[in-house]
Amino acid sequence: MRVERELMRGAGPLAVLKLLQRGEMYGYELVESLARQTNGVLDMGQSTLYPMLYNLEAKGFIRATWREADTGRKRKYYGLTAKGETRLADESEQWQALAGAMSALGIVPNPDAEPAA
Amino acid sequence: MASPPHRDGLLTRARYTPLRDAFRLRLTGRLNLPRLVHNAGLPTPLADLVEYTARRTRLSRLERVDVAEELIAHFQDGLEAGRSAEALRDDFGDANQAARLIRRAKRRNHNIFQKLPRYSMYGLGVLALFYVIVAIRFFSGSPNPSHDYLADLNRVPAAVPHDQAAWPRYRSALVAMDDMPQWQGHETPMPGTESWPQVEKYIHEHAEQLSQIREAAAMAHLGFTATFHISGDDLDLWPAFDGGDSEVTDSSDRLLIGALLQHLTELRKMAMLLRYEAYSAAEQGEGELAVANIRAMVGIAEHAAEIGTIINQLVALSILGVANETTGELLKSNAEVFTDAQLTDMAHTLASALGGGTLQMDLGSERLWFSDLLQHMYTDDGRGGGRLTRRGLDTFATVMAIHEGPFGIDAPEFLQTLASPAAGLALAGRRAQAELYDRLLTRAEAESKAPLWQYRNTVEPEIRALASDPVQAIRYMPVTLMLPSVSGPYIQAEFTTMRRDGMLVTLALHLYQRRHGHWPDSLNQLVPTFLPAVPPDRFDGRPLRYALVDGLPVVYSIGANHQDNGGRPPSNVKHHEAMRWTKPEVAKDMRLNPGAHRHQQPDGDWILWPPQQDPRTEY
Repeated sequence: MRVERELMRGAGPLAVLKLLQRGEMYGYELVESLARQTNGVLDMGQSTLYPMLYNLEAKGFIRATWREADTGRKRKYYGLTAKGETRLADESEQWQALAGAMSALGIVPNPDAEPAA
Repeated sequence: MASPPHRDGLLTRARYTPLRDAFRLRLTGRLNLPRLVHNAGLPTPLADLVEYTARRTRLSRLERVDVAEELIAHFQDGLEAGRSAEALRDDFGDANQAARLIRRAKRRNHNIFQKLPRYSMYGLGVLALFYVIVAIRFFSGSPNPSHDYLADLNRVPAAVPHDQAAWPRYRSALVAMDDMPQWQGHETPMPGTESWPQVEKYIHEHAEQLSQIREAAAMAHLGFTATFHISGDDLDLWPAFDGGDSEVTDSSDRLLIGALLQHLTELRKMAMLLRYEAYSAAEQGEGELAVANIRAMVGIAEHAAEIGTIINQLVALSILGVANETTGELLKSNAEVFTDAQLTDMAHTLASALGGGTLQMDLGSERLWFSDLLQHMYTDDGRGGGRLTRRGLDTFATVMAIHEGPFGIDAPEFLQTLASPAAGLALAGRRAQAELYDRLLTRAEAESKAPLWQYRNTVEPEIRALASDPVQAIRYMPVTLMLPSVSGPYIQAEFTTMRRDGMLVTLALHLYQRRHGHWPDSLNQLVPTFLPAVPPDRFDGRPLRYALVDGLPVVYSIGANHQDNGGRPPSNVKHHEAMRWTKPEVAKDMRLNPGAHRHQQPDGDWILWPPQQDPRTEY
């Protein structure tokens, strides 16, 4: 399932920040992780990912460093900054509130609800 | 499959080396995008995609290479993970959109120095757009002169019925006269001068016309209307104007400043002829004719002032000055030919000329010139405002005889046209111009009500201050250039008042002498029988001075040095230097620091009577 562009615009950066919270990652790795961990829901093309990364970098949420990988090739690694950590915390809180509201409306299932018999 | 890596030559590497590498003497050639992509060894579809996307970002060469390197790394990772080139290309998405978004994101990351050229371009763009809007407003605006200021100027003469107008009679006499010859010699003609026989002959030959002029001068109104072209019977007098302006029919296109006041020259000429005839008559013992000519000169002065411009008023003062001077000369040379009644008649004539009392300059009519100029320069918003127009700018340049482009800069025609809307920004609007002009002229009018010894001129220093400020000088150029000199005409009126007063005192002295057989010891003895009061010296407000020198009366003012020198004319400078208006504090400084002043301070008085050798210099 593909997510509408407007939804992706809000969810994509948060997802990237969350992935980077665990440690530095390079572009292809991010694409793969996003697709795998979200079952393809947040599978974004590189034409979307790289501009998003540059935007996050411009805003100071992530930093980029060129480093040589084990294979001897150069890769650009992205890591979360302190500002990015704060942003991630703020947005996570907002998404939780949103998810709660959606759950209350029955749009998404309530994770605390008893499973149906 | 991709080709093997390739190394560039020295020159190509130099061409694609960033400056910071070059400064380190390293010709890296790493800005060579095609070479970078080629050497990455990507399959052709991916190599093309990388190069295309990087180019389309339209970022700097360094940034393009950075984007390309990252995409190369991405695709190499994908290929290593076992994905096909086609699958990776399909997953990439829209390359154009990617390039656009990358460009936007990268530019957001620029520092202030990288952003400066872009913002400067934006700024210039905004300025250019603003200038275009200004230019459109400037070139699309058109003045719409709707008020007939010429009619305002002619309000009095136009109301004079033809049969009550003196001008047709003057004109008839002038047309019938031969051209006045150039008099010989440099002195003003009078009995005893080199040119006098020639003058006297001309006067006698035109006695009939001079009689006609006297009759016309006795009429209450002149009835001459200013026009933009000479027509009708006036062409008999000024044939040179025939046809010169015949195509102009719409006076709304014409500036009031172009209105012809050709008659003023003729009025002055007639006054001079009457003066010569008065001298001649006195020489022949014809006192009554001489007095009639003095009366006629005053009548002509009144006629000159019928249209109220400063120029008209200055000519009127000048003609009254001729009447005063003629009276003075007649009293000096031929006093005996006049009866007491004739002397009294002359006194009454001079005393009542141009309204009598302290002669004053009416500056009000100057507003007409300026309002008319504004209506030809600016649009009219109906509420007194308006913006400058191209046609108005040309009009102003023509009036001011500015032959160069805006602000006096000489430049080719197209540059002048290009720059001309800037004048619309630089010059104040119509209302602001009108308000400043009116404020200054109103103050000048109020200040000119004071007598000379209390005169305080604040308008001209303010104009000088405006003109010396480069911004204000341009902003209010129409005001600074068009506001008349207010002190010059004012002082002229004050001086003519004093000359006339000096003559009234002189006439009174002669009447006293005839009655008592001797000259009075003081001017106070003339009051009230021969004079209602001793008039003030315009230099200090005290009564005019009087002395008996070698048994003969001398009527005088303290003059430019503000010191009473006992009725002695200056010995160090010409007499007219004593007539120069000087403020008391300046006169004092001239005494203390003579080298610091342009003019030498006269060491004598301004003699009002008897006439001195060079009294006419002022005229």
